[in-house]
Amino acid sequence: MNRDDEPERAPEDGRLIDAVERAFRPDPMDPARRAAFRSALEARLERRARGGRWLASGVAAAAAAAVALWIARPEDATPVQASASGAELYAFIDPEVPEYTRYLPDDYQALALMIETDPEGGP
Amino acid sequence: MQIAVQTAMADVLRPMQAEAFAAFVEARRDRAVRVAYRMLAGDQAAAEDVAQNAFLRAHRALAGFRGEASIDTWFYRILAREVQRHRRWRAVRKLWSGDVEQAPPAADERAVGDPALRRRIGAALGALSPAQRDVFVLVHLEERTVAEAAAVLGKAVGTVKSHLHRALESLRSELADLRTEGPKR
Repeated sequence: MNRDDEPERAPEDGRLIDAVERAFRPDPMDPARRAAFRSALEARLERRARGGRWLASGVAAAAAAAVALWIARPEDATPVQASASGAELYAFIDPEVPEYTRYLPDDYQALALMIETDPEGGP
Repeated sequence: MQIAVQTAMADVLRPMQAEAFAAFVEARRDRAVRVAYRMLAGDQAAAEDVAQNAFLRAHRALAGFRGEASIDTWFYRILAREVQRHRRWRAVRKLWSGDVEQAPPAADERAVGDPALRRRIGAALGALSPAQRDVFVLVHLEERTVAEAAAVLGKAVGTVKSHLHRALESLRSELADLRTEGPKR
């Protein structure tokens, strides 16, 4: 151990430091406290190990479930169903009526028919 | 299959590791508690908690220990970080609850030696900044070199020397009587 870089210590400071070192210590741990310390540490280590195992099994189970779902997925995607409202709309289209009149309200459709249809059959 | 083999190997190795780790703890427990106690200015219960947390973290990190520093420097670095974490947590708790900083629990009353002197020293160390106290404890009380203290605390050597100088200056005035007389027993 290289102690060349150690600060110089005056004898008075040495006395101060020695006094602090001797007096300022925790109470020595008796055998009961040592045993309590050891068992608490072991319990925490065990708890952590168990937690880690649970976490690993959880992750593995989730991964397995995801793979199973991926494999079991249906091959053909269900086609998109036309909505009921769309089907109704097509059912009301009259192929005889010119297309642009389909977008007109009923009153205007009637007017359009009158204008475009010749009562004598001619254009 | 491979996972099963690895699990079986781990089951065989675990008791050996546990035994080695128990020896590691046994060899360092008293010193770890003492260092934490001094860095925390005399809070024995907190020192034991901090030492336990440090051992727990060391257990987790032991596999990653690459031998770049001595195992003691490595462990005391973990311990110093735990002390700092405890201080931060205590400061947050104090801020949150608006509690007045309490003196360390009644360890003094159970103390071997002179409880009053211990209390005085605790107060004088408590008046130092945490960085000054850590450096003073490591270099002067735990007899680490300045370079080792710098490695443990993750500070530059010059910074450590500066903290050390200020710490000693402050303690000279707070505990002036200890410089001239022998310690009171």
